[in-house]
This record gives sequence, C-alpha cells and structure tokens, in this order.
Amino acid sequence: MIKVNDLKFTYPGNDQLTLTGLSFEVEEGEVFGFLGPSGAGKSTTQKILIGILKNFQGDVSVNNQNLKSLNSDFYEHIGVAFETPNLYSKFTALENLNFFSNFYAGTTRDPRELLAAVGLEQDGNTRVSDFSKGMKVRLNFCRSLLHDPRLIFLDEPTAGLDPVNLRKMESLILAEKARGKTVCITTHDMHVADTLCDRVAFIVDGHVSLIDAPRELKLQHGERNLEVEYREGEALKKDAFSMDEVGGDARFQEILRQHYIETIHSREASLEDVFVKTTGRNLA
Amino acid sequence: MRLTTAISQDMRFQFRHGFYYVYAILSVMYIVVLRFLPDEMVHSALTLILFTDICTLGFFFIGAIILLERGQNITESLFVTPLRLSEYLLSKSISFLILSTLSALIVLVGAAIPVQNFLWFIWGLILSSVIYTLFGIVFATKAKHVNDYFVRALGMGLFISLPLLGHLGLFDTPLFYLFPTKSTLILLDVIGNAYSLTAKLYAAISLLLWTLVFAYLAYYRFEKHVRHPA
Repeated sequence: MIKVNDLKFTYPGNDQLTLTGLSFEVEEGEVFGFLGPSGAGKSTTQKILIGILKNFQGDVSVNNQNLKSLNSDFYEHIGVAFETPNLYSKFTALENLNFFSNFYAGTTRDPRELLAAVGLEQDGNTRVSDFSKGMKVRLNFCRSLLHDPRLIFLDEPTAGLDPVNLRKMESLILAEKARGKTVCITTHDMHVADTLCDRVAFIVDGHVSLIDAPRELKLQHGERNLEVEYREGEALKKDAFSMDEVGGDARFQEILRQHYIETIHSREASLEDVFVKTTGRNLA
Repeated sequence: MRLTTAISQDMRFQFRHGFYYVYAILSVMYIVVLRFLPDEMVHSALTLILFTDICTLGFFFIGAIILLERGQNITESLFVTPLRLSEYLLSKSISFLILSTLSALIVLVGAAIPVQNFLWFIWGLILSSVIYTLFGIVFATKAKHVNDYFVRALGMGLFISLPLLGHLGLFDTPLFYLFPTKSTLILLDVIGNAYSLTAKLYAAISLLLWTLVFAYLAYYRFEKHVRHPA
C-alpha cells in the first residue's frame, strides 16, 4: 500500500535534513503507527505521503502511485484527518460534511451515519464554532471517512478526547481495519499505538530506528519474569520469579497456597520502555 | 460538480460573514448619493464608485478570507480532496464576481442611470473583478495576518491605480495604458461616455491578457506558498 525507500527531505532555509533516509513499507489492511517525539519527522513524513510536501528525495509510492507524478484521482482514495481540526466554523457539522462529500466522484457515506458512529448524532445542526475540541476531533475523523477511502491517515486521532470517546475512537479505527482499510496513525501516545497498531515505526531525528509489532517489541525488550504481590499478615510483599521455571518453583507454589494474592503480572516491557531503551529518547 | 460546490460554498461563506448585507446597504447608499448628484456628474461618480469599491471588492476581502481559511486550517483539508487549485482560485474569483455584478446592477437600476455600451461594460466589470481578486490572492499567499496583507498589497494596489489620476483630470500620460486599471476605467466609463472602438477593443483585450497574467501569478504563488509550502 505504501513503499518508501531512502526518503530524504529538507525544509527550505534549513541546512540539516529533516528526514535523513527513511525506508519502510505499509501492507494493505494493516494499522501502522509512526511514533516519535515532537520534531522527530513524523508529521513531515505524513505530509509527504499525502502529497503536501513535494521536493523530497527518494522513492515514495502510495496506493500504487509514485508521488513524484501524482494523478488527479489520488485523493479519491485517501482520507486524511489532521491533528488540528479543519472545518468551517460558521457552518454546522452536517453542512461541513455535505460540502466535503461533494468533491468526490464515487459513492460517499451518509454523513448522519458517520456522526452517529462518533456520538455526534444530536449535533449535526450545531455550528462547529460551538463544538468542543473533542467534538471537532470526532467530526474531523468523520470528514476523513466520507468517501470511504482505502487508505486513511490520522494525525494524533485521540488528542483531546475524554476516556469514553477515546475508546469509541479506538473501536472505530479498528472497525475500519476490519473493513479492509489501511490506516496510518501518527502519534506520540504509546497507549494508542499499543492498542491499535499492527506495527509501529519509531522515528527519531528524521530516521526510522525500529519497526515491529508492539507485542513483539514488548516481549523482546521485557524480562521473562512474573511478579507477585501478596499479603503476609498485614504486610504487602512482592516477589519475582523466572517464567521459565515458575512451574516447579517451590517458593512460588508456597505463596500461591499460603498467602492472599493481590496481583500477578508478567514483566514484559511497555512500549514506552522499548522506545526509551532503543532510541535513548523520551516521547514528550 | 467540484467547481459548483466550491462556488456555492464560497458564496454561502460570504453570506454568513455578512458580505451580502454590507453590499446591500452600500448599494442603497450609492443609489442615494447618485440620485442627488447633478446629471453631468453621475457617470463620472459611478465610475469612481465601481472602480474604488464594487468592482474591486475582491481585492479588499480575499486577503482576509484566505487568511481565515488558513487560520482555520481549511485550505489544507481542501487540498487533500480531489479539488484542483485552479478550481479553488476560480471559485474565489467567480464568487466575488457575482457579488460585484449584483451590486453594480442594483446601483445602475436603483439610480436609474442611462446605460450605453452595456456589453463592453459588463466585459470590463467581469474581468476587472476577477483580476483584482487574483491580484489580492498573489499577496495573500505570503501574508501572516490581515495588516500584513494590506502592507504587502496596498503599495502595489495604489501604484496600479495611478490611471485614476487621469480619470479625475489631475494627471494623464499614455503610459497609463500599460496598467490594467486604465482598461478597467475605460470599460466602466463606457456606459456614460463615448470611446472609440479602438479604445474599447484595446481595453477589452488588455483586460483579458491581464486576467491570464494574474491567474498565472496567483496559481504559482498559491502552489508555492500555501499548497506545497516546501
């Protein structure tokens, strides 16, 4: 779906490369995440992939089109939701969606159904200027899906959402994946990447330092230990055991038999741990 | 479909932001002024009103509109749809052209001004309105806020308006024929004053060429500074 080979880019007036040679591929039907701290090159990469930034070096093809020679129907098949909601504030949600859907040649989805899917069914006739940040984010997401694109780019899709709408947004993104869509997410939210992405690319200082599935990364970089918290009288105690030997570990068996267990966790790394360990950088 | 959608949205945008109310009131004010003027001054005053406001309103408002659209991040969302830049620019020009033409016709009819050479006049009104909207776009592409837009645009705007001095009888030179505004003034003035066929043809063709020049400049600048800013 997306093939990028040795992508380099410099903003005019800058001496240093913003992207220093990115290479990666995104398969059809997967949710792919770009993770990295602010200024790492995530948004620049996305702007190149959606055809906004032109003067790059390297080979980039999106949806089987070489980005150096885009034809006019490129945007018929990709949907983009930018981090900053971009809608006419003096127009209602439905007016905005109807306006944008008229630009597409193919069949478009019913704006009312999309609004209902993100919990805005009662707000279709409300002006966008009266929307909260979270409502605008959800409306922006609807706009990106209007023409039922095969490839969807989402920049920080959960920014500004409360926990209930965060879950709703996550399930909607997974629903698009279930419909066979390819989704590219740019985020610095590890929870979003961990929950949604089939694979993630860590981008730091303009290059991809690592690409893999979140689960694999967490297992590879974690400890094969089991941590148990239990009560011994009034005291809260904690012990760790090797997962390879836990079945025959007498102390572990004894704790299970004789004490009140409060928690048992495997000690795989969090995605954030992996990021810090492999890049030497924090995500903030 | 894309173009008609864009034009319709631009007109509704202008309506929601009060442009049509403002020009309804201004048109009535112009009608009142023109009705109270002595007959021998009416055509000259009308040309002045059309040139400084009705015909060139696109120039005054397009900067604010483009900055507002950029401020609300609307331009970036428009250009990840199949809408072409040429359609976007055409839509902006046509939407202002419709407002200009409506306002001009209301003033002409309301002030009961005798009209001659109407087709020449309409040609001049249409192309001039488009030219000044495109002229504004050329400067709006790099402006950071409205004041910045006017600082960038007003100097050049005043310079190309120099032929107005000739229209007011203050100073004239054949060099003014090199300005698009000279052609605008001729074709706006033809409804009340006689001009040779050569002058009218020159003005009509020159405005067409200037339209192409400003269309190219607006397209080039927008592509470079807004749509693909690197």
